[in-house]
Amino acid sequence: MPIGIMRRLVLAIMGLMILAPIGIMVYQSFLDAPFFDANAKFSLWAYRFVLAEPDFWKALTTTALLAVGMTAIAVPLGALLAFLITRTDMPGRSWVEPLLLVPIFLSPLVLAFGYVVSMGPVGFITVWWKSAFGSEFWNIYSFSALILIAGLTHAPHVYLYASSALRALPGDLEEAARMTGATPRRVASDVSIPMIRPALAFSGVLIFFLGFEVFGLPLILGDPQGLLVLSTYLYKLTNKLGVPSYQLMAVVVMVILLIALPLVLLQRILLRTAQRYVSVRGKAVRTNLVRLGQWRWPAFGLIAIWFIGTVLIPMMGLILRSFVSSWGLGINLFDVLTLDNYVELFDDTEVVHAIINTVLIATVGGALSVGCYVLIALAQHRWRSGWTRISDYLVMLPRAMPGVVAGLAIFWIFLFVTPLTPLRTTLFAVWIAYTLVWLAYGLRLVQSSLLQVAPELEEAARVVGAKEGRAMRDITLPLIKNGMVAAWMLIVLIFVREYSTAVYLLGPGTEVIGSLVVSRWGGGAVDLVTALSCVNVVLITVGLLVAIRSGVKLHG
Amino acid sequence: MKSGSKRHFAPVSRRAFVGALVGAAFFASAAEAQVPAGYPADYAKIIEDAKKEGSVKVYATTDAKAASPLIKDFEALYGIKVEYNDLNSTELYNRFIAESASSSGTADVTWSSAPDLQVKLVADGLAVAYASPEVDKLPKWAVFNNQAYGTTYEPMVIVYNKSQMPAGDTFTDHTSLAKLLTAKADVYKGKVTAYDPERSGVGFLMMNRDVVADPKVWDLFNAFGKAESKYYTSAGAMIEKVGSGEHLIAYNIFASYAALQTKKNPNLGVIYPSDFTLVATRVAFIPTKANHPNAGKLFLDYLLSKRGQTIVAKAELFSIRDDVEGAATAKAVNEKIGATARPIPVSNELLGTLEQSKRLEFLNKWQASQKK
Amino acid sequence: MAELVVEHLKIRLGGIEILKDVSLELNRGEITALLGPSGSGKTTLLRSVAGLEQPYDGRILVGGKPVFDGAKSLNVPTEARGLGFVFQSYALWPNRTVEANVAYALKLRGVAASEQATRVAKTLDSLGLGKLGHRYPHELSGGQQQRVAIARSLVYQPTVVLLDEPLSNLDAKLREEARAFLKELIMRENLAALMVTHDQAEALAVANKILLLNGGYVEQAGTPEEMYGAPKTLFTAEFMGSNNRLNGTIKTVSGQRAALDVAGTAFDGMARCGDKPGGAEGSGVIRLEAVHLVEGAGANRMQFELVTSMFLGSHWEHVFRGHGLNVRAHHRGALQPGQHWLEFPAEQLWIF
Repeated sequence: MPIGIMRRLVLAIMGLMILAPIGIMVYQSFLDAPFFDANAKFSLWAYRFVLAEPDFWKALTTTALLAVGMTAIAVPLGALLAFLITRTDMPGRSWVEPLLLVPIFLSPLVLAFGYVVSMGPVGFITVWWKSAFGSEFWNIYSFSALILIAGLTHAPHVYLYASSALRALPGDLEEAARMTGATPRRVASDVSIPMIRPALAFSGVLIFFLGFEVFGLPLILGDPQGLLVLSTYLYKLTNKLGVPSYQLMAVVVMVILLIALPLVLLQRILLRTAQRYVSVRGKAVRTNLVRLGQWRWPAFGLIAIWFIGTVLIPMMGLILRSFVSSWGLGINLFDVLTLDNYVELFDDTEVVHAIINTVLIATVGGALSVGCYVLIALAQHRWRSGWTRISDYLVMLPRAMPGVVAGLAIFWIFLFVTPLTPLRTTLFAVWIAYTLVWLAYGLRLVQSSLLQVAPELEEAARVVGAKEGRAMRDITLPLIKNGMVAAWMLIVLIFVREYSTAVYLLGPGTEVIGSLVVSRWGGGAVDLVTALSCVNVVLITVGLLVAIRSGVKLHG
Repeated sequence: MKSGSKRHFAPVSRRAFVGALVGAAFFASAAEAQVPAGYPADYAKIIEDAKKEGSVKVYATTDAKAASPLIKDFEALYGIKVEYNDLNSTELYNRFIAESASSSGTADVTWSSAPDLQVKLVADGLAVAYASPEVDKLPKWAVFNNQAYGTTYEPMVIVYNKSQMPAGDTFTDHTSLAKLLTAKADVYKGKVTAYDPERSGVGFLMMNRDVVADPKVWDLFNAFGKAESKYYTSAGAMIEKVGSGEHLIAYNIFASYAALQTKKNPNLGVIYPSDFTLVATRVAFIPTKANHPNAGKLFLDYLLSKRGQTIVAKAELFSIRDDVEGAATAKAVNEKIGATARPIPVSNELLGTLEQSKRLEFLNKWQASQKK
Repeated sequence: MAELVVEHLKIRLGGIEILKDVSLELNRGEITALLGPSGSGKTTLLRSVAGLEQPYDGRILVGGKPVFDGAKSLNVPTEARGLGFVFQSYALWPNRTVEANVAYALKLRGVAASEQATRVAKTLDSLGLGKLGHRYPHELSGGQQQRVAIARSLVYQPTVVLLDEPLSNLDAKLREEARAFLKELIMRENLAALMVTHDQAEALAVANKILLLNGGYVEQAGTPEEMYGAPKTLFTAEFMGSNNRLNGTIKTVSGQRAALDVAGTAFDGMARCGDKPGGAEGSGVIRLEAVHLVEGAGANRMQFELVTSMFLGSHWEHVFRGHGLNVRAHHRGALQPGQHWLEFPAEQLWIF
């Protein structure tokens, strides 16, 4: 098949997959009943209702503040972490990396609960602090704490993009800055970080989108105050009306899309200048680390503080909770120590299924997803065309829908698009849903690998007689092999946690850890959830360490 | 709405129990797969057709784990596979109405702890009329038009932290709790938790029924407001925090869940309010768009049967039948609270609570009660 | 007929007109150098011939067959043009050995494995790379990499070879060796070679013909001798070789000769200024090696002060200043500081 047709076909399929759920939502927003209801009529009622709701505006403002706040924290922090870990001789940077990724694959709901156990009003750290220094100065249920925790725990996403961009920078740029007298701090802020601006711009927009989607953190930390963000507002909206009202959900999605579109536009503009920054040609340049000198240990201290605050504190809470039957005031932890939670865990066939399914969908499914992302990236690769431009706009959109709504839309498609119906209750459908919502994330990982392939390597193949497709297969693909493996590892992490988009596709035989955590949490089985999460963290961290030790790089 | 509408099940009792059942079911499957005693003779036809259908798809809000003894026993009894989908009540509703509108059909039985949503689905004509042979064994309030059936009998209780409650502070019912909180609002500031009626469907329904049972309960809600109570969407979070001492009192908790938690944390105490105690029930019906309607009937009847209800009781889901013995049964509950039980009826009455204007009216009143 | 013909080629990239109208012909056994300042479109022209950029008008013929024809919307894809291309960065595939790099073209053409091996070995041998077949590109020196790049583009025996600044990545010494090697190779293989370079000395040394591009047009084309010895325009004169430029006023133009007034001194020179009227601004251009050191005043002579001197091995380059001008001159020997007379012979002074 001619390559031009292939490209169009791949991008058209992608566009269809993205636009179908969004199209349903657009359509639904203008109806007065579920779109599958025979009596549904065109109406603007939903818009009038939502826009007149004070709760909606409150939730929107809170969400926007949360998204802005967490982006403002996560982006500089992630960039700094990336600089310290990839570009400097900071001690301990090699083993910090896998641990740093814990917040990516751990359910935010569980992470937030970990904070409650450790730093909540009667958390063990709080209680200790009170006995040592008097009353505590923090309140993890406050909005500022939510923003801080959201920012801290999203920094690893930024770290991933920033670090792979930093690794691609030639070291002489930094050396030149050191020669002219810049301190390591100045090198980072004046040379290294500005050079990776496109990666930061991309991750910034991504984090902002994730901010509109966060559910687990506000659910746990905002619950006591009744804090409303858009995703929890959807629940409140349903409850106000007694039954789920899709047109109202759809209107909320429309509002989010209206906010998202200009952002995607902005991101395009930022990325357009990316060409300026492509300083890498062909083979990777050997990079020399920035010597921190006297700053080595302060830098280590900084990472340690982030690590303690973001991973260790909630993890300690979680681990503690998983080994006791109860905790808190008036309870001597030594009296309640137990292994029952773990025994119960492996006694539960559903959990065992979920673990197997998750491993399957994360590893095999993740690999297939990366395969799709590579296909899409290649379809866009070196193709100046409206198709490429439009598809670039589109990829971000699925992420702009709150997970539960995206899940519903995807479910409708599998239900009402007849050829897809037989797939509906299979892991395959779940895989499609995952692949779709993490498209922007994974595609970007692949694209950044492709950016590093010098065009003349492909042109050389063309000149000696390879057709475009053949050149991609024989030259481009082998050259991004490392990048694909790295993308796969990261997608595995993401898929381990994901579930919300597939929530309506899950059933007996397709349960995954992510859904089990949320559903068991809903059922109040806190012991099981914490034990499961601890097992999850151990499994993945060990898996990561083994992979890294055996030569797999997290960066292509 | 998702939370608290699911039940959790104690593993130790379950394991022993399943063992016993598997043994019993082994010879049962051959002998007893005939028409159950007391059922009409033509029931054999239903069994036969159900076996041809081969499987029954259940959409339920009860944890798969808690329901697993039921599933295993049913499978052993009839040799019909149960495809059990463990969902929350909103998910169940969303999935169900979309599938009912599609051509691919839907579950054969829905079994949800949101009785209001179930009644609405029945009223929307999405359930078949089917007179279960077990109908006589059920209380009248638990049967709706021979379409929807209440299957459990679950009191709503108050859970508190025994070791952290200020010495001498006691309460036994809604009124005394209101008095305590009003008198010592400072002490109980931020210490009381309940489902948020604004964000949780369960919370709304229960508080709404509280008011139906006794309008004076507004005094209690006012007292909640005065004590700056915290409202949640998940029972797990509430009990966890009462257990840890962050909060002291959790209001309107399913007794089944409370019982389980008190076993794990002896500091937790349970109070059945003595003035009135709401009793909730999980509602099941057979959808009109069921792909395997006969298997659905079989499962529904099994769920209501003495055999099924005995397992419900053992799973601490609280049997609704008077003729089932054990701690988690209607019989035991009624011995405890007797005439003060206020079952939430499976009836058109619940449709009223779904009416938007009435909901908003209630919520406005609720908000007013929370003003300091 | 010429092996490669380009007719009235026009190309636009990113909305900017890069080539406005360029034509050339190239025969086998000939090396044409594309010369020009950066941005003149020389690389674009090369890439258009290869099919890596798409012109919007004009024609390109390889071996008499059109591979691009704007009027007929014909655009043969790169891989079907059968040209050789040596990239500036060599573009060796880093994950393939030297052998695999070279053999790839044969593999694409379905050549049997055994024959692939023989032909690759032969090509590598002829380029002096015989023993390096199993190495990876990063294990080779710059010069060796360049040869591998050439081997890769020749192994399938194209008649036309395109070279994009092939020598620019080599250090100075290697570069001079490579020039000779390249010229000899192309002559021996009887290829038609089109080579982009920004280095006029390289163009003069290697090419049979030079095409000087400026602003999307051919400024001047011709043999190296013509380009160097008889520039038709100021641009060509200045671009080729090392020059002094004397700015002044044209006094008279008569036939082949013109007179230029520079800071009050009259210079006779070869008229290259068309029919510029007397009094118009004019420039005199003269090669460094044409400026002579003389004793005392005379026609076409001026006195300057020596500013600095540079020893270049075979001769010296002296830098003079005076009359608002900087003048450089080649001379066999060293000079004492102070004032010196320089002569600008009329036959070698072009007046534009």
